[in-house]
Amino acid sequence: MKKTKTLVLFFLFLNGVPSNSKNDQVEHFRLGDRIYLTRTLKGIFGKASEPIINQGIFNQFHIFGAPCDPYSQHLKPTEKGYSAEGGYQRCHNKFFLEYRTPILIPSSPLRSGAMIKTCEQLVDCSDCLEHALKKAQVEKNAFNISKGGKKLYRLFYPFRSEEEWENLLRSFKENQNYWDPKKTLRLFCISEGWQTL
Amino acid sequence: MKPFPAWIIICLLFFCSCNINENKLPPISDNKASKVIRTNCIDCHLDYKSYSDDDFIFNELIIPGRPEASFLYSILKGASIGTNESMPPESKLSPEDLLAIKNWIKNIQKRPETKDLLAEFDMDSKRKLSEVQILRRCYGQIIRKLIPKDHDLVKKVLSHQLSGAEACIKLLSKAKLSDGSSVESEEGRDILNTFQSLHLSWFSELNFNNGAEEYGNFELYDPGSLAAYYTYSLFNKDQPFSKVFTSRNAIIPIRKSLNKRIFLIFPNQLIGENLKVEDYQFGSGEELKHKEEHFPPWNISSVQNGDIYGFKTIDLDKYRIPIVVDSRKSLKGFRKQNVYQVNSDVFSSRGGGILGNPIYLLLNMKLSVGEKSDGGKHIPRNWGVSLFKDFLCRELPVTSITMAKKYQKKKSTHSFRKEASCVQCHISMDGVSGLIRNLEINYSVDSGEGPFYQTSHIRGNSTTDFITSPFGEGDKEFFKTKPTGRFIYKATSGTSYDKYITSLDELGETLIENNDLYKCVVKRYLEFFTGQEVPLFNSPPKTKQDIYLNYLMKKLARDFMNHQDLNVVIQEIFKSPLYQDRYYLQGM
Repeated sequence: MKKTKTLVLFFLFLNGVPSNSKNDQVEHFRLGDRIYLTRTLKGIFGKASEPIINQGIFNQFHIFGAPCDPYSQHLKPTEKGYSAEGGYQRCHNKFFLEYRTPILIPSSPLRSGAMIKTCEQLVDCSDCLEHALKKAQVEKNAFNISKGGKKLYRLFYPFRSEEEWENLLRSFKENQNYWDPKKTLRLFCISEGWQTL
Repeated sequence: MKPFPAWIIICLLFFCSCNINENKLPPISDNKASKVIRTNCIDCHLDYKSYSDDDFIFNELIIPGRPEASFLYSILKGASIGTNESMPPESKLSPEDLLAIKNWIKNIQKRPETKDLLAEFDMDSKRKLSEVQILRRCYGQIIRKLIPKDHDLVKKVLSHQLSGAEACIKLLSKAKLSDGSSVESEEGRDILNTFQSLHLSWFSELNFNNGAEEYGNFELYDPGSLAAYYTYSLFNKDQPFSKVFTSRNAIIPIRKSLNKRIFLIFPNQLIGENLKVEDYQFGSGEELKHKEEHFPPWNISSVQNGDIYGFKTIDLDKYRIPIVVDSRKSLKGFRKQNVYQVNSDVFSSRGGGILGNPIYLLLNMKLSVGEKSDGGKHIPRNWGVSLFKDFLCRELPVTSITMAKKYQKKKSTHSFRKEASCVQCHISMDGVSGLIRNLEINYSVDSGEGPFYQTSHIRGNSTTDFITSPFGEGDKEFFKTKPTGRFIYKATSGTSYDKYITSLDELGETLIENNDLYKCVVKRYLEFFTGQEVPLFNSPPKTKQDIYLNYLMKKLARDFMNHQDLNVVIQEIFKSPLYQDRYYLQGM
């Protein structure tokens, strides 16, 4: 129950809605596409995260949007056959479906579900977690939500104001006494705020 | 006396209130004009019931102080002088009513320019993004990455050397191009690829395989060449937007790949395999084996693969290849008289820039191979449907029923010429399609490895000076008559067009003089950058966001028509309060 409450709080808050805004009419967030999400998450979780992100986000073009470009082929002959290289716009499958994918796709329960699943897999992947913690300069064994949490927050929200972080920190403390890096990172990862452009 | 039961009183009150509401005059500044509008317009134009002077101005129905230049007055006056597009339909206003409208418009004081309204826009400071957040937003949208904290532009914004919008504009300039040049920076290439992808999504048809096995076209033509018209114009300051509809040159993407391409672009879905480029040589099929000396095989090496680095206008002579074309519907029974050599440039536009680009024609004409226009059932009208959709953001019908009635043929053998509701769509699509009546689609012979990979080509039949209407019953000589057409269109501002056109070049010129062309581009950019739907048509604005979006769209479109620079449109979006508000003015 507590976990659910916390999750709801994070979904709402991390969209960046200021407490005094008339946000009840904010309906259409301009969300980043699969290319934006893939590149951002790979930057945070490192090379080991590639299979998870490709499977969970990049290949889900119908959920996250951004068409592919069939002319962006980079195939290299290998002993086993061919390997695809480079070209983030290349088509992976379903030629025309992927070629004609809309540029932007609005938020949906499918999208939230795919993000939750991918983020859970990412924090469960020890190399990926290590990479993110190292990038944020966070000590896993001496984690403190005020300092370490802020560093992890900055991975996803590098330009949010101090005030926003302080408000968030208060909510963290009100909802749960103990936060570990994995749980914290997972919540930042699934929050929609950093996906919103 | 027995009192009325309460329910009767409630019902009476309800009906009275409805009645009062029904009879309510539009809240405009002139009572006489208001009555004229209520009596003559509101039955069909329900919106007018709640329109104020400002709403009529906002919706471009009137121009304050200038009745003669106002759309509303001219169509009402039209009823008295019998022009095509006149209101109210099948009746006319009395001279007194017309005068009331004229006086009302004449006496309305001029409003501040739209520019002032935008400049005076009062932003909620709590919702305004910080300068660096504005940069984060545009970077994420056009480069599709989270901007690094140590990025040069971040430093400049944080040290107040640049505003967020200025940094976004600087970022955009990283994709600057000239003819044949490549963008070397990775960020510049990301920007180029993002916009190329966006522009390509503006086209309704990208599949060459229109029912026959025309997969080979994917090897000869890159549909990205259509988006290239826009992307090249966006990043090349020597390429005004008007050239998209006037240039005879084709533009193709310059692509670079880490490796040489191995497979054909379009996978063979029937046999579930990728096919190797080296196995395919066009013009070497069974039918031509004994005629190779006359019709040498040719390789389909025109398309490049890899990410886009730049664009180039095409070297026309390079593609002047002697393609052997067979116009038969069947590949069996090959006969020499059915073959001709195109021996003309496979990329050259038939006129009107992108409108006559062979790629656009092949994707959209949707005629069967060898099918000739007869002006009745057989006409490349799908090209007309796409044209309104792709360049004007409009779905048919795009004209009024009054206009349809003018072209209705009650004795026609075709229902689409007989029924007004069908005519309403057909006059627009058939009208423009008359301009390409002489064109047909022909196959190349097969590729030598089965019938699945063929290319198709546009063949232009020679024509006479004989002029016939594009709204005929069907005449087998129709395709030989002079390719003329009509541009029948009712603009979003309400202005109607019914223009006789004699070439694709003239159609291109007509489009670039039409404000809807610019509104369509601005609408699409605004939607991309904000995620908000931007309606083309006016409806009474409900929220601050509605008002602002509509004003901004119209202002940017009007300015764009003058400066012809796509880059400036995007710069203006970055600078707007709409873009700098965290929620794009939603909920205000």
